[in-house]
Amino acid sequence: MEMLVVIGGIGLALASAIIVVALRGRQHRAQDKRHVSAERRAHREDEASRRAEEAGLATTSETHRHSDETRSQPATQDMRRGVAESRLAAAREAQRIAEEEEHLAVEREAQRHRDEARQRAEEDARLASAREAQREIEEALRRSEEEARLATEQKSQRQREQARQKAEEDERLASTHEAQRETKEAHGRTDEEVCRATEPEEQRQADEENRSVSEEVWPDKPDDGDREADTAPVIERTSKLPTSSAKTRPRQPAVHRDRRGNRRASPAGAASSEVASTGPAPATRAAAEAKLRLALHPIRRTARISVVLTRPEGFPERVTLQAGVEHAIETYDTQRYDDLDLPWTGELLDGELRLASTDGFRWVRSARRVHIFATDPNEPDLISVGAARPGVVHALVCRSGDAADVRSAAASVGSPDLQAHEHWQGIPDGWMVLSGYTPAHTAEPPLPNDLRPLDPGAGLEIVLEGGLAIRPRVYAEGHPPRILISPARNASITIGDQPATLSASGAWEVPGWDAPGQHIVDVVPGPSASYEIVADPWAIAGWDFWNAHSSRSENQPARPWTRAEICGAQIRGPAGETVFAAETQPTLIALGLKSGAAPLQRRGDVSVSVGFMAEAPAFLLAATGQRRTQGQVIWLGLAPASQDSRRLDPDWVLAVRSAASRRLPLQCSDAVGEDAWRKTKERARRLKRPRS
Amino acid sequence: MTDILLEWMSFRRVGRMSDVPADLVDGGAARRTVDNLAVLGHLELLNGTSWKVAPPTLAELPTNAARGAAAVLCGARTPGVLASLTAACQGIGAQMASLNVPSRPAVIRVTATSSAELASVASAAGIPLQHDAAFTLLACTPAIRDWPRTPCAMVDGRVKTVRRFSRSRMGWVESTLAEAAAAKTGFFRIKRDWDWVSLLKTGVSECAYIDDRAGRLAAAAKLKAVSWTANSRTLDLPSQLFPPVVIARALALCTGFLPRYEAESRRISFGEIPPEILRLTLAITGLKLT
Repeated sequence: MEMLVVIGGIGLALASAIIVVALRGRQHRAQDKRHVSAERRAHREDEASRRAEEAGLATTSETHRHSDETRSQPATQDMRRGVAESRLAAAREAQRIAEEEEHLAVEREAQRHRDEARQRAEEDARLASAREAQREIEEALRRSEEEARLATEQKSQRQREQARQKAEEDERLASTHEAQRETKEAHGRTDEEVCRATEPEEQRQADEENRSVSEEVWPDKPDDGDREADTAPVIERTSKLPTSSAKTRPRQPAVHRDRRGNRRASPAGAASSEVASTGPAPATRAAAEAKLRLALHPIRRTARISVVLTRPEGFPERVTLQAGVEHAIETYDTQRYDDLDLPWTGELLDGELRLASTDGFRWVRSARRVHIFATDPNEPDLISVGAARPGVVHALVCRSGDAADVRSAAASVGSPDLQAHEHWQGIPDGWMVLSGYTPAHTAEPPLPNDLRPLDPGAGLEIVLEGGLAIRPRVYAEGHPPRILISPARNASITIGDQPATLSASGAWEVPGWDAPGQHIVDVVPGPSASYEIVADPWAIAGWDFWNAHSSRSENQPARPWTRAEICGAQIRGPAGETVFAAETQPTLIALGLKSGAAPLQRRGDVSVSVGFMAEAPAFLLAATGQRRTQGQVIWLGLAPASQDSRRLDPDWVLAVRSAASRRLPLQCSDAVGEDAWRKTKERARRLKRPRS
Repeated sequence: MTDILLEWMSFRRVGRMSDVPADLVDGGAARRTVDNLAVLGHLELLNGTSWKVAPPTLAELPTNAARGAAAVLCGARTPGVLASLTAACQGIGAQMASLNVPSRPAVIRVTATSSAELASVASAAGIPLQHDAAFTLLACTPAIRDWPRTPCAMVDGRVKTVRRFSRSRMGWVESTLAEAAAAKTGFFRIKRDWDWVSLLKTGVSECAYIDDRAGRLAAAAKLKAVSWTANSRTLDLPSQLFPPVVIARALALCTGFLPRYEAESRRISFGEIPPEILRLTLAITGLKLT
C-alpha cells in the first residue's frame, strides 16, 4: 500500500510537473505570441508614430510609452485596453492628418482660384487698354477726315464764288456796253430836241408819247442793260455753306489706312484733281518739298523706297501727278499726302527728283550723292532728312562706288562701323544701303561738299522765333518769324536756295524770305528746317459767308425773317438779297432807284416788318393812311450810284406815282437824296402803265 | 493783344477753343474772349466748342443826328482789310477812327455825312454794308417764347446738382430733381455725371433743352427788369439776364462796344439804344421796363 501511495504520489507529482510544464509552455507560447504581437504592434505603432512625427504630432512618445506599458504588462485586459487606445490614437492621428491634408488642399484650391481671378483681371485690363487705344486711333482718324471734308467744302464754295464773280463781271461789261449805247442814243435825242425846239409843245409831247409807246412795244429789247449793275460791294461772297450740324452730317465709314498712306501696285485711273482756289496760281507758287521713305526688313532682307509729298498751305486735297503715268493721290493729313510708290530703279535717286500735278503744283527733291534717312516719331520706317544730326542713328543710301568715301566720312565723324545691305531685294544694282550711321562730332577733317550733309556740324540748331504762328511753322503774312541759327560758324546758310545774310537783329534773311509761300532754311553742314508764310486771305479768297443761325428758324414757317441768314453782323436773303426791316406800319414798301418795289411782310409776334430786295433799296415808302400827312418817303441812300435799269417795273411805277401824287414828304435826305427822288418821280412819270 | 488775336483768327479762319493761343488772350479765359468776339460780330460759335470767323462787314449804327451816318467794322480783320478800308475812306472823304478798348479789339468806326456816302465807302473798300444792322438783326431773331428748343424727357436717375433759376432772386437757387420733375414751369440746370443740362419746363410733363441764356429769359418773362431813359439812351438789365448772342450782338452794334458791367449792382448796360430798338428788344425778350 505504501508503494502504491508512493507510486501514486510520484505519478501525481509527475502529472503536476507535466501540467506545470505544459502550463508554463503555454505561458511561454502565450508570452511568445504576446511578444510577437506586441512587437508587431509596436512596429505598427512605430510606423504610426513616425507618421505622427512627420505630421508634427506629439503623441509619438505617448504611443511608445503606451506600447511599452502594454508590452510590460502581463497579457491581461489592461494590455488589450492599451492596444485599443493605441489604435484609437492612431486613428485620431490619421484623421488629424487627413484633416490637415484636406485643409491644405482647400487652401491650395483657394489660392488657385485667386490666381485665376487675378489673371482674368489682368487680361480684362489689357483688353480695356487695347480697346481704348483703338478708340483713340479711330477718333483721331475721324477728326482728320472732318478737317479734310471741311477744307473740301470751303474749296468748292470758293469755286462757286469765282464762277459767280465771273458771271457778274460779264454782266457788268454788258451793262457798260449798254450804257455806252444809250449815251449815244441820248446824244441823238439831244440833237433831236434841239431841232424840235421850235416845234409846238403839243407836237413835242406827242413825240415823247410815241417814243414811250415804242419802247414798251419792243419786247425784244436786250435785258442786259436793264439789269441794274450790282454795285453792292462784293467781298468774295460765296454761296452759303451747307448747314453743318451733327444731325445732318452724313456719317462716313471709318477708313483704316496704314500710317504710311495708300500703297498702290498700279497707277490709279485718270481722275481729275481739285484745283486749289486759294493762294497764287500754281505755276507761280514755289515748289514744295518731296521726301523719301525707306523701309528695311532685315529678316526678309528687303528694302523699299516711296516718295512722300509735303502739303503746304493752299495745296489741294487731291492731286493727279504726272510721273510717267498719272497717279492720283490724296491728302494723308494737313502736312503731307499719301505715299507715292515709284519703282526704285538705278536712276531714281541719281539726280533731281521733280514731280508736277496736272493743275500745276510742283514738288522737288534736290540731287545729292548720299541720301540720309532717320526715324521720325510721327512716321513709320525711315524718312529722308537734309543732314545728319549728332547722336542719331541714320541709314544712308548711296552708290556702291561711293561706299568707301561714305565709310571714310563716317569714321571722321566718330560713327561706328556701318552695316552694308547691298544685294537685298528691292535695292537696284549699283546701289547700297548703309545702316548704323551715328555721327558723334563734327567731321575732322572737313568733308567734301557733296558729303557735307553727313557732317552733323557743331550742334547747330535752327530756331524760328516770334512771328504770328497760325499753325506749327506756318506764319501769317506780315508777321514772319526770326530765323536764328546758333552757332553759325563755318556753315553755309541758304533760305530757298539763296545765300542768307545775317541782319543787324541777329536773324538770317534773304530777299523774299517773308513773302507768302514755303521756305526751306538749309544749313550745310547742319540741319534744315522749313516754314511757310500764309498770304492775307483778303487778297486771295476772303472769308465764307454761311447761315450761322439756321437753327433759330427750325419748325417755323418760311417768312423773310426766318429765311434770312445771319453771319456776324451781316444779314442776307437765301439768294444774297438785301434784307430790310422797319417798324410795322400799314404800308411799307422798299423802292429801288429805278426799279424794284418790295413790300415788307409783317411779323405777327412783334411790331416789325421784314422784306427782301435783290438790290439795296433807295427809298422806303411808309404810310399809315391815305392822307398826305399820314405817309412819308424815307431816303435810305443805299442804292448804288451807277444803278441803271431800263426794265419796266409796273409795281415800282405805281408805288412811286402814288407817293408823288400824294406829295408825300421826303425824309432823311440831303441834296443827293432830293435829286434822286426827283429823277425817280420823273422816270415813273415816263414809264407809266400801258393803256389797256 | 486782342487785335492780334483777331488777326490770328482771321488767318486761321476756323478752330477750336483749345486752339486759341494763351499768349494772345489778354487776361481771362479763352472761352470768355471768344464769346465776347462773337457778341461783337467778329466770329460765330460752332456747337459751343469751336469758332469760325465771320466775313468783314460794315455794320451801320443807328441814326444819330449829332454823329451823322456811321458804321463799325465787324468780322475778319487783317492788314489787307484795314488798308482797303483806309484807302476807301481817304478817297471818298469819310473819317475812319480806331478806338482802343482794353482787352478787346479796337473799334474801327467809319463816319460819313450820309448813308449814301457810307455806301460808297463800303463799295470802294469791297466790304458789304449792313444797313441798320442792330434793328435788322433783331427783326430776324425769334422771340424768346419761340426760341428753338429740343423736347426731351425729364432727367431721372442719379444727379449731382439741381438748380432752379429764381426770377425773384435773379439767380440760381438750390433745388431737387423731384421739385424739377413736379414743376409746371421753370428753368433748371441739372448736373449729371458727365455734363450739365439746361431744362425749360413748360408743363409738368413737358420739358425741353434750350440755350442757357434764352432759358433764363424765358423764366423771367414779363419781369420788370429793364431800365432805359431817353436822355441817356442806356439800356441796362441784370447781368443774369444777359441775352443770347444774337440779341446781345444787336444791342452791341448800336455802339460797337460790349456792354459795361457794374459789379455793385450786378447789371449790364448797353449804350445808345434808340427807342425803336428798345421796343423791339422788349418784345423779343419778353421783359418789361421798370
